[in-house]
Formats: sequence, C-alpha cells, structure tokens
Amino acid sequence: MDWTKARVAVTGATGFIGGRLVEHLVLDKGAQVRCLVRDFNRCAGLSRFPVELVRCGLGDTSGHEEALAGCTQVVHCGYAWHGSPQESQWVNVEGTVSLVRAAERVGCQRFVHVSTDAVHAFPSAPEIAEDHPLSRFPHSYIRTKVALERRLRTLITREHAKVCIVRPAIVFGPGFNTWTTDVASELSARTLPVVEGGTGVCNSTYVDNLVLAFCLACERPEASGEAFFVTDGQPLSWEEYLTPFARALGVELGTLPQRTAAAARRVKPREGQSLAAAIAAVLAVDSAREELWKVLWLRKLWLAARPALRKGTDAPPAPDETEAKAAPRVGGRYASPDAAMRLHVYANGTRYSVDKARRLLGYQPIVRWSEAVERTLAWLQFARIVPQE
Amino acid sequence: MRLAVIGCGAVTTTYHLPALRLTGEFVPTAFVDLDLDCARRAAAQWPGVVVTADLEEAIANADAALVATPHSSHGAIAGACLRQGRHVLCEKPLAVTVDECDSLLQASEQSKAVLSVGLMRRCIGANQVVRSLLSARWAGEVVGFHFEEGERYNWPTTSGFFWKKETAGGGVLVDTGAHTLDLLTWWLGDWESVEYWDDSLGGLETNCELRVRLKELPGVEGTVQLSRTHELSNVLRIECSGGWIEVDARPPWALALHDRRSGVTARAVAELAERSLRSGEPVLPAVNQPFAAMWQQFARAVRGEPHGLATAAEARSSAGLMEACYARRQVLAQPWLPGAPGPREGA
Repeated sequence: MDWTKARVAVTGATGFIGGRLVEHLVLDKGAQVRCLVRDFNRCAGLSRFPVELVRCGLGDTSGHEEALAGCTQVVHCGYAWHGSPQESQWVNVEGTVSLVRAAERVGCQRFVHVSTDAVHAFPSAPEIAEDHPLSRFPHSYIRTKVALERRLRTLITREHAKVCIVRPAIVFGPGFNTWTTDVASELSARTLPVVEGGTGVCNSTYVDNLVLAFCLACERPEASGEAFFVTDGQPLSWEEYLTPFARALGVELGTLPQRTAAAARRVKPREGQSLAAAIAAVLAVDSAREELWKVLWLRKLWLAARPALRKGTDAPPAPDETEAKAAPRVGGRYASPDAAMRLHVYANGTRYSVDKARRLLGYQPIVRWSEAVERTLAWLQFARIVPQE
Repeated sequence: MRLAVIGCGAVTTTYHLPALRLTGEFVPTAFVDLDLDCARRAAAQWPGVVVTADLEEAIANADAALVATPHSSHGAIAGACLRQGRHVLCEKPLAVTVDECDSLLQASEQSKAVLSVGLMRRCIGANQVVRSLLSARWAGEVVGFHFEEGERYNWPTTSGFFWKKETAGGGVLVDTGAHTLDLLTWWLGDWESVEYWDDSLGGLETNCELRVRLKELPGVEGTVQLSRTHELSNVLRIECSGGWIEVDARPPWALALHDRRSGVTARAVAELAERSLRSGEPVLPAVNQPFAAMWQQFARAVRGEPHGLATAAEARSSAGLMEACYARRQVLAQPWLPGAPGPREGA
C-alpha cells in the first residue's frame, strides 16, 4: 500500500492513541490525514502537524459522509464520553454505525475500529483468543464497547462492511492518561493499589506497537471482517510494569496499599444513577426517532436505578485477606466503576494472545519493553510528572 | 462612545463583553463576524445593535472598534478601521510581523486615531508593581530571568482558526507568548538577540523555549518556556543582585519578593491584582478584572489622557522578537519520538 497516496480519516485524534497515530501517519508514512473532531478546544497537539481538522462529532451523523469524502481509510479511535451512560452508548453505537456506512458509501477501503480487550473482561482462563465470549461486566464503557462490537459484527456479516476490529490491552506511552500519567500520579500520591503483590498479568501495549497494528489493519486484505488482540506480545507482571515508573518517582511498591486478588475481584462497580436522574435522562429524549427507544429504556431505567436504590455499603475487607502488615490496606466491596475495573485489571491472570495478529497481519511489535519505558519516562520528565534525572 | 465589535468568538464573549458592560465607557453598536450566528449570539445581550458580516457597515456608526478576529487578519481589519478614523483596541498579537505593525502604526499616525493593543496583563496590579520595583531597583541590578507559562490548552475556539498556520500566524509563541514577551520587554527593555526551539512538525508549535539577551541590560540573559500541552510553573521570575521578584502568570497573580540580605520573602495576593479596578464597582471574576481595567484605560487613551495600555510601538518590539524566533527556529528535543533529534546543545 502506498501511504503517500492515502488520505486517512482519524476520529479521536485529540486523544492519546489517535494523536500518536496521526503523528506516525504524517511523519513516518507521509500520508494525508483528516482529523474528525467534536470541537476545536483540544486540538493543540494536532496543530503541530499539517493535517486537516474537520468539526464532526460521532453524534453528528448527518455530516459523516461529507466528513469522510475522499478518504481511503478510517481509523476510529473516538469514543463519546459525554452524557449519561445511556446517551453515551447511543452516540457511540449509532454514531459508529453511521460512520461505517458513510465510509462504505464514499468508497473507503478499510474501517479500523479501535475496541478494547475489556470486551472480554474479565476471563478466568490463563490465555484467550479473539473468539472468547464477550463480557457482561457491569461497567458502562465495557457495555458500550461490547454493544458496538455486536453491531459491527452484524454490519460485517449482513452488509459486508470492510471493518477490522482492533482490541488493544493496557495501552501506555507518552501523553497517555490512564496507564501512564494516572499511574504516575497514583504512585506519587501512594494511592495505587498493589494487587497480590503485583503478580497479576499486565498485557502491556506500547502505543507505537498499537499504531503499527492499525497500519497493518489498513493494509492487509486479511484484516477485513476480523478482530485482533494487540499487545506487546510478551505479557509482564504488574510488578514489572509498575517498577520502572515507581523507581523514577522514588516509590517502593511495598509501601503502597495492598490487596489480595480474591478481594480485588470481589469489588463491584457502584454504577447507576438516582431514580430522578434516570427518569430525567429518559424524559430528555424528545426526538421522534428516540421515542422508540423509550420503551426499551424504561426497562433500562429500572436496571440503571436499581443499584442506587439498593443500599450498597462498604463492607470491611474479607477475613481471608493476608496483606502485608506494613502496607495500608484498601477495603470495600463497592468502588467507583473505574476504580473497580482497575482493581480487576490488576488482579487479571489472563494473557491475550496475539497469534492471530501475527498470522494474518504479520504483526511483530517493533518497540521492546525497555525502549518503550525509556521513551515514556522521557516524556513524563518533559511533562514534569516525573523528576528530571 | 459607540463601539463596533469585530470578531465575536470566545475572547469577545468570555472577556470583553462582560468587561464592557461593567465599565460602561463604550456601548456596542455593531457586532461583526463572518459567522453571523456567532455574531447574533454575542449580540443577544445588546438589543438594537447591528449584526453584520460587513465591516464597512459596522464601523459607519462607530467611534471605536474592538478587533478580535483571527491573528492574521488584524493588520487588514485594524488598518481599515484606522484609515476611517476609528480608534482601535486590537486583540493581541497586534500583528505577526514587524512590517504589519509598522503599517498599522503609520495608519494610526496619519488618521490621528488611537491604536492600542489588548495586552491586558499590563492592567494587572501585580505586573505594574513589578515594573515599579524594577525601575526603582528595589532588588538591585537585574542579573537574569526565567519565565514559564504552560497548561493543557482548552480554549473554546469556535472557528478553529487557532490551529491553522495561515490564520493563527503561529502557535503558543504568538498566542500566550504575546503576553509573556510583552511583559518581558515592558519590564526589562528591548531584546538584543534570541535563540529559539519549538516542537512544530510542519504545523504550529505547542511547546517552545527561548533564550533571550537584553539590549538595555548588557550581559543579562534569561529563558522563556511556553507550553500548550502540560502544566508549567506559571511563574515569571526575575533574578536581581539583591534578591528576586516573582509574579504568577495566572489569577490571582500573586506577587513574591525576596530580599537576599535579610533573607525575607514577602508574598501578596489578590489586593494587588484588584487595585487596577475602580473602587466601588461590582467585582468581576479575577480573570475578567484586567479586561475591565483595559477598557477604562482605552477610554482614557481615546480622550487623550495618560493611560497604561500597550501602544502599537511597544507591541512592535515583542512582535519583532517573535519574528526573530521563527526565523531562527531550531527543533525542540522530543526524545520520546523514534528517531527524534537529540537534546540540543547547551540548553
């Protein structure tokens, strides 16, 4: 594939993964890039490159075809976080379906959908492949990503949409929040919970390896209609992942809050909204199209409000926990959805196989762990999150 | 005085209009924007005004104009207003080249219309105190300076002009840097030479560093660091032989003074920042106060009274510094990029 003749549309380009993809496409591939952005507020990072900025959000379905006109590939890194969980799910699912159909209409050769390994959260097998059952974990992000994949599977099967689904795992690298700056901040604040002494499996995915996989997913005919896990190929323990960042910050992992894997897995997300908020969310839907959804949402309303109606209290840690006495313990059976999910991720014991990506895409990670850490630390120092050496 | 509001984007609606309402010196009579919806939204609070995309129509019935359009259009629009004898308060940067500044200066001189620049930091009490302290050599001789301004940028730009080289004229250097470099030259005098690094990769810079040598203080040099991607200290620090002076670059613009002989550090917050407002007026949020003060000063300038606003001639000095930066640009080290240039020598 001649990338210099490609015009790649990237959604979510103001984010970390999309931003790095744009960087790579412009600097290394010489491709023309069009970034579809919801608003212009956060385009500072993108403005460093000669790229097209088009205001078109995921929910702006009437503008999708025009926004994609002339594009040869789409890499869909975007995710609409705004609104209630129900609104967010609607915008993400329907917006993505609209985007796929628009891409087909304008003749795009490939639509790469960036999903997540969390669509399988959280399996018990030591290793899984892409055909593992999708998750029912009660977290709005996971539910949305699962619903999205199901709709895309339908589009692939029934409409022969040229979609490729990429499921990255623990993505990290310069500029990323969740597994980079947030981890550094929690290490600094000594609030990061260490689960089972850090022996859980971390399916690390350095952003450049992920970006390589996106490019292969655009290039390879075999990618069409398939889903792929993408990781660095050599899972680490969480202790191995956290240690270089902790060392740079002068933090000993042993001094952080400790939790057993069993206790971490028992923590449930305290998701859901108040009954009033749930009713307000449903009543806020006033377009004719969405009237149809109300019937379905009335059922969802009950499901969404149920946890709030239930009196979930933080219970003391279970008696079988055997944390190190020197370190503080973290307890509670309920946590915020993100905190609960992260505890489960730290307790994860499953490797995500990249054999399919190797076989069909020719995927071979290009950045080794040591180099990835070096580059990430260089950025953390530049951004003054980690002290200069 | 009747005012044509030219450019109805975020800076106008967020800062200028609340300040205009408070000070009452100028009454908007026309709102101009190529995006008429944007102009209508801005004009919603001012009944009976003209809403138009036509500059001529807007300034026909105005005594003065606020020019708050994309940077690269300042020269043409402010020039058109001046040539018709309208006083102009132009958002910073006045222009992105020295030639454009010169042509605006010439238009202002020929028409006898006032041309002021919206460098509102000069209206912040703490910054005025710094200038007084330096003039009085409170801490002795200046020996160096280090200015840092940076945050994760989230400006609610409606048109997106900020992100296009041809309309913005530059990145963080011409935007945030317009203020920082104006304070530098206002406090410490004109510059002599500059070294410059930024992270642009074919577009606009989001991080940049300058090493500036001063003309009026031979041998004195210092650094300026600006970022749109991450938080910096947001402190402007001037090292002197007898101590140091620091002022925050963010509200409430706290001032800190250190006397080396006694070892005493004194800090002042808010009161100094608020001193620039007329007493008894309703208080705007801290970030809006300097805008209100700026409009008062502009009214004084138009009436021919002494004022504290940046003149076009003064803005020319910092515009020249920006122009020199881009002309001498070197690549800022970004060691996390594969194959990126290594750390620059000596910086």
